[in-house]
Amino acid sequence: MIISIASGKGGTGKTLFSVNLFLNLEKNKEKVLLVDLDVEEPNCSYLMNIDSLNKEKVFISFPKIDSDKCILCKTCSMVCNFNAVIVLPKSIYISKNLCHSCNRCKFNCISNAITEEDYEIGDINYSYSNNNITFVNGMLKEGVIHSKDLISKVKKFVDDKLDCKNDKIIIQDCPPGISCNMTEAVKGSDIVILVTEPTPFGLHDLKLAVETVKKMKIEFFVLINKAEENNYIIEDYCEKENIKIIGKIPYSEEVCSLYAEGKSSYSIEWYSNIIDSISDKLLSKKYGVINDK
Amino acid sequence: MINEILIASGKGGAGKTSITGAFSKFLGKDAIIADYDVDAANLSILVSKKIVNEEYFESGYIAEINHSYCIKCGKCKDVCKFNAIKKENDLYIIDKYSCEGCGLCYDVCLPKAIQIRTKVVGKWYEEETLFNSVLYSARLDPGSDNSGKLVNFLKEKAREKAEKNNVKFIISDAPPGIGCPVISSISGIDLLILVIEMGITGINDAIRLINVAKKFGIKILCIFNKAGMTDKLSKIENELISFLETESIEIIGEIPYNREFISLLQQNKLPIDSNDKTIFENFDKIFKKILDIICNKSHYEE
Repeated sequence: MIISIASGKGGTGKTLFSVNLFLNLEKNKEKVLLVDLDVEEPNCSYLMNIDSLNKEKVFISFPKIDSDKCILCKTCSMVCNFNAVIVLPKSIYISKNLCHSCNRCKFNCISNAITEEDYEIGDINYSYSNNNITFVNGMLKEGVIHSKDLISKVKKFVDDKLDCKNDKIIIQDCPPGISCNMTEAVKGSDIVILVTEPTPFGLHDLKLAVETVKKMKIEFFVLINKAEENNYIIEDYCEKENIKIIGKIPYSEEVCSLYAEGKSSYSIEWYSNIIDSISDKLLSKKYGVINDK
Repeated sequence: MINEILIASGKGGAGKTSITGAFSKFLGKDAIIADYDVDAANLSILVSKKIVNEEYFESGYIAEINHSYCIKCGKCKDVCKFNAIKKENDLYIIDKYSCEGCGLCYDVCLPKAIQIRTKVVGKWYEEETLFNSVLYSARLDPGSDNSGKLVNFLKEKAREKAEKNNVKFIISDAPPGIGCPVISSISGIDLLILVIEMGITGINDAIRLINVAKKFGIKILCIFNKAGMTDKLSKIENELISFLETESIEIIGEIPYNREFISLLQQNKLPIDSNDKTIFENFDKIFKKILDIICNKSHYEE
């Protein structure tokens, strides 16, 4: 079962919740894997005690023009829908920031002048516990813009490494926002939990995230984080739209302080009790799915 | 000469938008404002009076299959590098969240059942602000991958307006992260104000953003925000201060963590709207410092 933790607004508490959910499921002897897909700013590892991380470099390929074979017919430039092929007086230049690696130029090249070259976009870091992979993240190389590609590669890595996916729970800490990075991370999930905060920004961006997840036709719930007494703006919205709230975590200065320090707050009893009740609901979904089969 | 000042953080929720809003109130008619967080644009909630213009934004392409001509050979699915074509109930369907509009499927389609058409990816807005100025913002459609282009478009609009109205400054609110829209946001600016959320994750995220921004060679100043959330970070804070020094990044102020900012936000108010005068004075000092530096030490007077 794949559970994506997303939001519209940044800073609502996705990472903290993802880590706590992971710790809870691990404690309850579930087979669980935490995947940090916020490849631009992956933060899960700062809140966890990870013994050692293995690293694998990630490459994508771009078309490369062999100037000996190129006859400067400019077909590649004409067929490129991303304006990535730039025709100079005596050669062709391909912009890696604009190129989407679709290979349409290569397909249409009449002189077979286009091959591929590798380009490093970042790393995948991962760690094991008792011979099982329990944590994976993607870290985008600074200055590279290909976040979506890295997210896709991390997901493929997880897919390839897992022998039996059905009995595992995969928690995906997703990037904020609703752009292609978020949808790339979220697609294929069984459940999405949208983490929000009861502020005008939180509500505004939650609506955008709800619209996105509805369009993707994935089951979702809302988690109200940093909840305040007598503030029901999120509950009111959810009631009006018939959206289920999976949990509510009250604002706590102690949790904020521990988070700033790099601690998950899982040791705080009232806090882990709330995480427990949320994970119970998720587990009943998981076992429900298996029973249905 | 127009100076663009970008407010960025790397980390989401660090306080960029609140600080940008406060700065736009401070500068009033002397700044055109832009919100580059086109995924989840929030600045208008704090500063907008009304929308004066809105238009659809078109960018990129998407493939469409006409099922009456489709002979179901599956060549389009075989050739698609983005796995954007699936077979569902005997029909070939394009997944619009995966299709990048490259046109390769069009090339291989014998009966020409595929069309490549331009795509509307969102809307942009020109808004009158509460502070006698103009805000440019946008709303990107879910799943869109053209945020960099939309950011560039808003930047051009802000620049045009600043030139037309003879306005000295553009203040812009960056999106979170270090990817495409952030890099587009940084392009062509004169000063980067880095808002660092003073916690382990905020500090590490800020360092990644500094490493990206360095490549542009622009001047960076930084503000320590939400300072004092914990007193257990002195080692990392000292490392950060040394790092900033080696990078010639001046720390121009510190904003202590204050729960009142959240209650002000609940009322769509800015942090400088607090009754506590010391808060206003702190922001005032920081903004004047920014102007001193950008105007090469010539004083800014109201």
